[in-house]
Amino acid sequence: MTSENFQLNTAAVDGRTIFGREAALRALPRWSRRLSVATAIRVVPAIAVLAIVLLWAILPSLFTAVDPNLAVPAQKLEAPSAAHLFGTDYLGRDLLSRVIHGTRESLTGAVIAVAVGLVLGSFIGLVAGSARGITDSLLMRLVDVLLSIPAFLLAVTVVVVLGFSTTNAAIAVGLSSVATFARLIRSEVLRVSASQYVEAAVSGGVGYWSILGRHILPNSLNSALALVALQLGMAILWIASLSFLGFGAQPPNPEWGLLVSEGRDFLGSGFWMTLFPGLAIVLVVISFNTIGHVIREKSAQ
Amino acid sequence: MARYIAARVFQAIAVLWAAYTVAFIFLSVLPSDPISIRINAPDSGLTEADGVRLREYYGLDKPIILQYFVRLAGIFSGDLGFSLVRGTPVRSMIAAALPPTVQLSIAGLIVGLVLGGALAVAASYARFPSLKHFLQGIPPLFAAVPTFLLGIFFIQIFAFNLNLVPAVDDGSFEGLIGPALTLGIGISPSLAQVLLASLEQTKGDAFVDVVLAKGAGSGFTFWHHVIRNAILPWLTLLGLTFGELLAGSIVIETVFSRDGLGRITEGAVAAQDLPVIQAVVLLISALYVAVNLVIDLLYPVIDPRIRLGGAPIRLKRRASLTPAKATS
Amino acid sequence: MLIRKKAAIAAAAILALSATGCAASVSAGTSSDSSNSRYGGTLTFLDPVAYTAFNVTNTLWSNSNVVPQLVDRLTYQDAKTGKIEPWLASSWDVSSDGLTYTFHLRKGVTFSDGTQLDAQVVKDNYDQHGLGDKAKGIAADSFFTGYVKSTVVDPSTVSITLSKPDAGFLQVTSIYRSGIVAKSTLEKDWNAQGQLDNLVGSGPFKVKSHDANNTTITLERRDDYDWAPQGFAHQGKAYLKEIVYKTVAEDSVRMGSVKSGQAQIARNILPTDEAALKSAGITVNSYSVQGEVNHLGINLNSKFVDNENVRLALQAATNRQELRDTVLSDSYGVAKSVLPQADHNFTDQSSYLQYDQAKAEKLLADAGFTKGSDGFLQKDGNTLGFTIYVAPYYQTSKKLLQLLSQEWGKVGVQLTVKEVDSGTYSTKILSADTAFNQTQWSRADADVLRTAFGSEYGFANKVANPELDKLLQSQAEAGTPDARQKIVTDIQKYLLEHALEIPLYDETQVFALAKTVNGFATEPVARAELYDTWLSK
Repeated sequence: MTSENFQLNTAAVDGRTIFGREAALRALPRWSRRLSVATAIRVVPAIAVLAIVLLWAILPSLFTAVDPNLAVPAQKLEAPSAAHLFGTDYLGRDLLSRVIHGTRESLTGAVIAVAVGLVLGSFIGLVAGSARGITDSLLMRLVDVLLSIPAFLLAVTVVVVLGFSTTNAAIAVGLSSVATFARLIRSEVLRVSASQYVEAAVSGGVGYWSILGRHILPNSLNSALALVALQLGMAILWIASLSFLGFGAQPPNPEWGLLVSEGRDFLGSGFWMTLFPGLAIVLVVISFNTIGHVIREKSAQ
Repeated sequence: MARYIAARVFQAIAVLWAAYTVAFIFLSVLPSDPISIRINAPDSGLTEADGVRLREYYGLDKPIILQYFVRLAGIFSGDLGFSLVRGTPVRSMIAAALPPTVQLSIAGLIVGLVLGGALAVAASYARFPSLKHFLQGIPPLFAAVPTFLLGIFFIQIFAFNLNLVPAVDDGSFEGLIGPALTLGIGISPSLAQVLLASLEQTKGDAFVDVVLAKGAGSGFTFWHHVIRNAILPWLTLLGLTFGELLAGSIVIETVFSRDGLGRITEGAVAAQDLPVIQAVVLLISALYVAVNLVIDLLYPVIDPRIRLGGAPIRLKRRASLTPAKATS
Repeated sequence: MLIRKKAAIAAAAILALSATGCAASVSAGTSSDSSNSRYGGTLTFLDPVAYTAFNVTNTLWSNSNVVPQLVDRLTYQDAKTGKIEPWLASSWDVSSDGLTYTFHLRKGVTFSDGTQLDAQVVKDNYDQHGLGDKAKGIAADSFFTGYVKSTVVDPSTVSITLSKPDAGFLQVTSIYRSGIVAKSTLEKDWNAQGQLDNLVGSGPFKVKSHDANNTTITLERRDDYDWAPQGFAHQGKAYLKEIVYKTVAEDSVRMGSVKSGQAQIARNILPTDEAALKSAGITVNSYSVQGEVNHLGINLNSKFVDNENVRLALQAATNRQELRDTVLSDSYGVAKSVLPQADHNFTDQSSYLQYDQAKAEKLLADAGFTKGSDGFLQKDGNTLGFTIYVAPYYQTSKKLLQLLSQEWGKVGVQLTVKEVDSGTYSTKILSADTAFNQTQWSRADADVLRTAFGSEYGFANKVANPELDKLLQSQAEAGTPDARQKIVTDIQKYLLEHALEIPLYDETQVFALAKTVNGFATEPVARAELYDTWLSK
């Protein structure tokens, strides 16, 4: 009997909307853990990509000396060359520099989104899972309401209320992932509380909050961490989608989603404006997803 | 069972009311309204005094709480009001936008299921490790490509370079291919990964060995045992995917210039067309809740081992330990 | 303008035929064989912006490529000369005090619901424009300020009374928002009038079908149409059998669709795509929009811009040539006045609009600004900075404003570009915190300046300016075209001398036309007029 299977059936017998996304994600491939070489092949490039991107975010000027917002009209829409590895954009700005300098805003956005989701979601999940009873019911109804509005629709609405910016788009995406985190943490709390050592602790007279701190939280950490990594990838995609619809980053800040969205006007005359920022998004999202999956696999071992 | 269904339906209605109210609160704090948008457009020829008259005409001058109840009452009588931007009755807008979105969602779902299923089964039964790795690598790649990027490149290549499909929806079957593929590719990774996990797990379970030992062919084993056991988590995921399908339609309908719910949502949100947004939120939530309700009710049909009690919420606390044993 | 010529050449055969006699008598059936082959076909037209409500009273710019095919107007304005010619009114008289206009209506004109055009329906139309209708929720049209009443003289004569002379009034009777609609439309309330099915006009096309969200609209030809103005290239029914309008927001998709033959006409072609389209054999036609130039309007209640020297400095810091060359294309004219070069009242005022960085710096220094540590100018601890919002109406706005921000930055002025949803935009531009907003009114008459700047109208500067008001009013009351031209020139000078707006470029509409499209034409304000358009097989 594996823990995933356990989770599935628990949820099913609960008879509720049952088996949230988190449980579905928990059931992702575990069998590959037998192939540790394969795991390494997946993890090393992912970590390498994230390390480079992290450096871009922290020290962009180390990688490019060009001002990302400096328009040189005479050099507009130049194809990739030795002088401009990624080419230039419609105002003659260096695209490589814009991609590098855009990293910070894109990553910060993703981190804010996940932080909002994690903090609010964990709080709701912990309270619901610990308090049970009427509090649990009420909180979970709230989560149901949030879940019944498709997350992206919710994010679009929230971002219009808050105003267009990367931070607001990030908060909107974060708010729409609160329900996912709440469900995961609640189910973790329920799972761990039902485990034998917690039962033993309870019968041994240990106080509830102490159990929560010593047993439940540490044991839920891995699942939460895996979800965090996956949500980071998703947040980047969603913030980029909001930017694409024109609800995200402000010009001239070179956020990746904004770069793609601007580039799409130039598919006929400058495909590189879409291609390179698009590749950056894809690579980073894949890396986050890979790491999330690996954490999950390791924790399931 | 009847009591359970009644409780679930009541709960669904309560969730819908709450979703509607949440949306109303969100939208009522917006800084502007469609009348200002219309007045301030260049060329509008309208003055602030005309705005007062228009607001009066649309009932936007009434206290916000009154507007809330007027709208809520309207829903029960089937009157969703008028779009403040287009002047069209919201009901007819929604009625027209729903079929293409449902059509797209179903087509996208089919693509997603076929693609996800095929990838999972192929990866699960691949004979060579290298092939297996390659197949396993596809879903994470699909999951990382933004839908809009996929759509843009699809149009560029298949519609313009190869001229195989129309770039702008013309109602034809060919016009549906691009949007459905884009949507299907977007939802396929989670479907593939969950099915793959269940397949691998079920394959390893003891009862499969028993069935095989009894002399059943592997094809028979696959269809009768492995797939049947793997389908349950898949079904749950489908309910959740439904929300993704509708959300994905916002981006895809914009990229492919398709008429539908997603597109009117995007337009209505940007123009703060309140009656339209409220109707869309209500409708999508209703669909989502209904689909998940049906799926919940389908569980016992598919897997008789799952019993539905009359008091599902109270059951949870102790139930978690026992039924797990029932599975394997 | 180009198109007019093109249309004229294309239709030379018919013109030659009709020029000799009365054009009205030349019906489609009697045209030469070569033009017979022009009839028929379906044209797909891709529009970038979602259509809004179809109230004729309030035809916004998004709907303005559809409505002109559906409604006729009392008069017709020649896009090239600006002259007002007969259409539904076959002639008219203006009283010597300039307050009464008497229109003699053409006979035999029917609306698409079969009802006749008569003096009563014209009166009802104009009453709704000029007075509004409170019970129906219809506001008065600001283009009709000064309207008093209409009187039915006899079934085919209607006279209109104004409260004061208005030299631009006759032109108002020619614009698409003054389209004459049938009684059945007028009887409906604001909301119902906005629905396409209820829009009944006497135009060469009528609505055949549309989806509930108006993303696809199909118009069909009226075979009994026989009252085209002389300025059109042919008479009788239109050439095209059907026109299909589709809303396609993606610029690259509109362009690609015409390129691959999936559509015949696309509006709003990106400047950067023009070359690629031309090299693919697609005709790229640009039409200057008459009215104002695309410019930054200035709210004089805002900080810093109440100082004329600051405004003049910004005027000099704006490099219009660079903006045009980088963000736009040769299809767009660099602004040389507050009116575009194609406007018949235009006079060259480019001496006010020279790019001069040194002059800008000097003006700002004289105004007491000094360079701060961040590189931007400041005075009393306040940075000379502005926030400008990307105008949702212009596809190049975001790009243009970013470059402008860099240009102003060179003289130490901080311009922050922000993008908001159209709802927020409409409130932000009203706020005194927002000094500048990118805007443009289109109307092929110099009176557009009164509509934009007059304190009773658009009141662009938001601060009373009796001197300007007086100038604007006197052009409307000028007795002769020459006298009027003189005043309009003074207005152009006045606006630039005091830097009451910052002109950017001549507003232009760029259309991509498939090779099969012939005879395409636009109105003076560059909205498509598809009556003369035909498709070669």
